[in-house]
Amino acid sequence: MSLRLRGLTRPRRVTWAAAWALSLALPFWLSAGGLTTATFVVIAAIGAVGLNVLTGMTGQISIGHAFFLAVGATVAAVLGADHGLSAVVWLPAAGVVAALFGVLVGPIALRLSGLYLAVVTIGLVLVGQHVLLNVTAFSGGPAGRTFPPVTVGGFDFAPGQQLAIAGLVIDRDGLYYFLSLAILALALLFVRNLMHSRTGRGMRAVAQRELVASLMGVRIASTKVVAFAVSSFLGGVCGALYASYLSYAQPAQCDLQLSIQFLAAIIIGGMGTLAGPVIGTAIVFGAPSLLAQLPFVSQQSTGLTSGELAAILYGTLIVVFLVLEPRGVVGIWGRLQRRPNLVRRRQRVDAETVGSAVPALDSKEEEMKV
Amino acid sequence: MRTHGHRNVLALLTLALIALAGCGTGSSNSSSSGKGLSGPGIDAKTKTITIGVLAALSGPAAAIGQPWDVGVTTFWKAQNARGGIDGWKVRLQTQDDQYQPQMHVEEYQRMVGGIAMLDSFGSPTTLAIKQQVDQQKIVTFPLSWDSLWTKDPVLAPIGTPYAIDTANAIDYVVNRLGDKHARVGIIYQNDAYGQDSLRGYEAALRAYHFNDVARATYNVGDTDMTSQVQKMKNAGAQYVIVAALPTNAGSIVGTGASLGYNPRWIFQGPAWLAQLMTADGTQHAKPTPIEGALAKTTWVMQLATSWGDPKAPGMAQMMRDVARYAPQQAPNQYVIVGYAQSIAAAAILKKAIESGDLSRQGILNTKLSMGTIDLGGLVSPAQYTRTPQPSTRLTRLATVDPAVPGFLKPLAAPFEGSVSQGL
Repeated sequence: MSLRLRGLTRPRRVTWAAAWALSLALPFWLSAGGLTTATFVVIAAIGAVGLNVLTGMTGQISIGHAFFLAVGATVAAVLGADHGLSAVVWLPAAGVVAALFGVLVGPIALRLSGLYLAVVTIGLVLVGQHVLLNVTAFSGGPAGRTFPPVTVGGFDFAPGQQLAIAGLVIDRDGLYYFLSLAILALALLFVRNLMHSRTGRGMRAVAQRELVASLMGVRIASTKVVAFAVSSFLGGVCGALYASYLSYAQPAQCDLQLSIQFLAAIIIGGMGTLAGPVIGTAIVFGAPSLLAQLPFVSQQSTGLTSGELAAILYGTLIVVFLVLEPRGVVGIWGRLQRRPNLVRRRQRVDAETVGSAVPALDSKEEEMKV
Repeated sequence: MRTHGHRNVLALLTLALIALAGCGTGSSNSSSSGKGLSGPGIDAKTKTITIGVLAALSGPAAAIGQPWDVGVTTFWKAQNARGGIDGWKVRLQTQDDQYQPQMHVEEYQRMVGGIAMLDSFGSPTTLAIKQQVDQQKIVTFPLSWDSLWTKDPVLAPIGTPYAIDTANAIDYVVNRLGDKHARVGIIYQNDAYGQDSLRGYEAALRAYHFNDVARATYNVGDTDMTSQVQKMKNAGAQYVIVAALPTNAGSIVGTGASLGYNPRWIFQGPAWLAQLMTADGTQHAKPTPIEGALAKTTWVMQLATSWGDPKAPGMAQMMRDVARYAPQQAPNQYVIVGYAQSIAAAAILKKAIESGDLSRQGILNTKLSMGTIDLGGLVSPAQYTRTPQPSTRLTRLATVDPAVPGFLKPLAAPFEGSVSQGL
């Protein structure tokens, strides 16, 4: 814990710790349905964290994320279901194979950027779907196929499975939840370290302005390829987990809409931030189910179904965020922290954490700016 | 200073662990296996049975999901008003799944602890919960005519599987009309539904040796049907099986008409919707541009009997119930299907109550020992036995007729072709 938290300011450290504590305790409060929603959100968050590396940090717009999910799911199906291998094998393999595809696709981004790249990545989804629809040996064709449950040694995450640890019983949904949460934590840790590495700074420079980045000595080609590889690795793992948890999936599910949902998630949450994709995923992938539970939006009272309401909310949110706060929920959070009445407290906190000399320097800097 | 921060983190973690320990097993499924008139979704005190309904009330399949839901809801409202099942009332817990497998699984998980039976809309959606349904032994009525449901003891489909319907329709052409060398083609949607229809087509081909002149397919979401129709026209197909959804089916007939090609289009059940004829599916509304072409050329393998069919004993009751509980409802085959499905559910529940076992295992045992359930002639009688078999093998072929409500007029009494036994 301390290793991961090093370098964060204390309030942020506390926020993160609280978020993790809450996530760990969540399954024991939620109903079975709520836990299922939470599990889907956590699984999707892994993919969103991946897309964030490519689109948020490196500035390469991709609408092809669903393709990498499909690759991961297919690897899970072939290795897990057809060859009976353990999840210890197929879960990382799903990521690695997806990453290989990412590396193949990456160079396209060297020649194209912005909308042009976005359009090419649309092609990726269409080609991927076409292949899956027709190579029935892998995908089961248009009818779809079953996907293997996660298996570790002799233990599997099949329906009805229960794991008892110290008096706590964790069922299938809980098992998927905790496994996905652990993977999400690893992904976040990796991305955080990446952000602060030379490569990560290179990515940010590329996102800001490619020409300037290359003048500063950032190797544009390798930076973009690495971004694609990391992004598609996490996309592949997400796809494998998603299909495994759903137990049955069709090629039609890996469509453009799914890609756009991921894009929406990182935009709403906050592009290029660490927590943004996770928050955005909770909103985009969790909202339809949560809205359906609210009594005042029942179909009888509004004439709209929960799905229609969620779609309206979802569209509105994207527009509102892009217009008012392009940095998403995380941006709003930052803005709240910078509110004047909070400033004094923050300064005191800084003084406590870093020592008394620093605020003085800060104020000197302020004076110089003025 | 750093130790102070760590203490905070530790405190929070400890809190989390206490929460973990204290809250126990909120997520574990309670699958009570106790016999008697109790079980998940059964409230013996108020004599209420809860049935879950997962329907596509919005999204791409809403045009089918909504009338189906109306059929289910109407039946149970009327049944409860008539005194329920031996004094037991049925409560429906309905959720919209938007025809998304993920939503379907989520909503299923949300309701599974409190339901005794399930109505589940659609093929890909039902497949996503199949493992759980099997494991939890919940008798489930899928709104889907995929052949694969017949192999699962827990599932209770009604109506004729697509493959059998297609084979029977070709049997009608070859054996009843005596057109031994008929030139037949098929346009099918490239998914489970279309593939199942194709399976029936191929089985019929092996048995009847008709002229298989052309096959064309399209993907879900395709809108232009010109190349498929052109292929049929070039091959000179006289009869074309259409395993499509209504938007594509309408486009196929319309494209054919504009090309001056009007073969006998034979629609698989889901291809048909009364809205292909008029704006809202009622007789008095504005006709669509393809109304004339449909009336001239099209046969439909009906999913249920015609709306208002005087020969079906259960129809009068259904019409009264619809007039009372859903007066705005236009004639629609999915209303009849939802209603008929609920007749089957009521029959199973009635017998389970009589046998004194409303546990999930009890309801499942009852379902498997039902034999034949009469559905009032709305849909051919359903067969549920321990040996896996289709619910029925009878096909209802109808012509399109603008003069009757619902626009479908039976061509022949429900019949079974010679190949269907092998399917």
